[in-house]
Amino acid sequence: MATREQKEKNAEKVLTIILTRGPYLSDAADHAVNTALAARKEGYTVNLFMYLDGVWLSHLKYDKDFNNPGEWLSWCIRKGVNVAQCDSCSDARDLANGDIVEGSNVTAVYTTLTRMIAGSDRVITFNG
Amino acid sequence: MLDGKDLLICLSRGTYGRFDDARGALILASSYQSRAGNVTVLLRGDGVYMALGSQEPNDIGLESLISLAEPVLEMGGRIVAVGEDLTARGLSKDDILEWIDILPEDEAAGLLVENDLTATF
Repeated sequence: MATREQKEKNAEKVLTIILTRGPYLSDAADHAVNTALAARKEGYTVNLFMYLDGVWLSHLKYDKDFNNPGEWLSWCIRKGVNVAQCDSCSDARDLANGDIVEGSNVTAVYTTLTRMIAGSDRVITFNG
Repeated sequence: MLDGKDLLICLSRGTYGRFDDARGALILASSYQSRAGNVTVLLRGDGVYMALGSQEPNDIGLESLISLAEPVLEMGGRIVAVGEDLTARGLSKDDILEWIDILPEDEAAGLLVENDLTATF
């Protein structure tokens, strides 16, 4: 685990994670949120953008008796990951604000995802 | 205009099928090219089907991806297809859109090094 000094230095580095698959179809969503949390724990600045079917992850709002990447998404938000999702993709799937986890920014690829990528040191896409 | 880095977008899934990755890749490509920096879209594997000049998905109720790809070019971006992947699918230069470049596999791999960032679809 990084020291406080290392974390402060790591904060200057930006990782953007793009998730394009919904939960339970594969473990892409699990890997995306776990990677985001791990990077955040080391102090890095982390963006997580849910795109295409990836927006379904934001729909997992409630507790479950089994693996729940939605819970880890909420942790991401609480831990300071910048979480956002594509507005057009959300509209297409009838995911309105009341349907999604609190704290996810519903926004455009044109504005937010391009800005996230442009300011990143690394980009990784989870689409398996 | 953001002072963005050069972005390589790799597309390896086919068009108009189970996933809408091709559409998502092209929307990101045109958005990034217009706001942030230079984009190269690399079509490899089944992604080369995006290059087909004869695609006409309107009959099945879908918007043609060509209308999403053209703006990328118009704004200065680039779309390339891996030659070996075209050949493997029985496709040649005559089958694809004239503004899509064909690169051999080794040169396509070089794009991964030349660009600052990569997003895969």
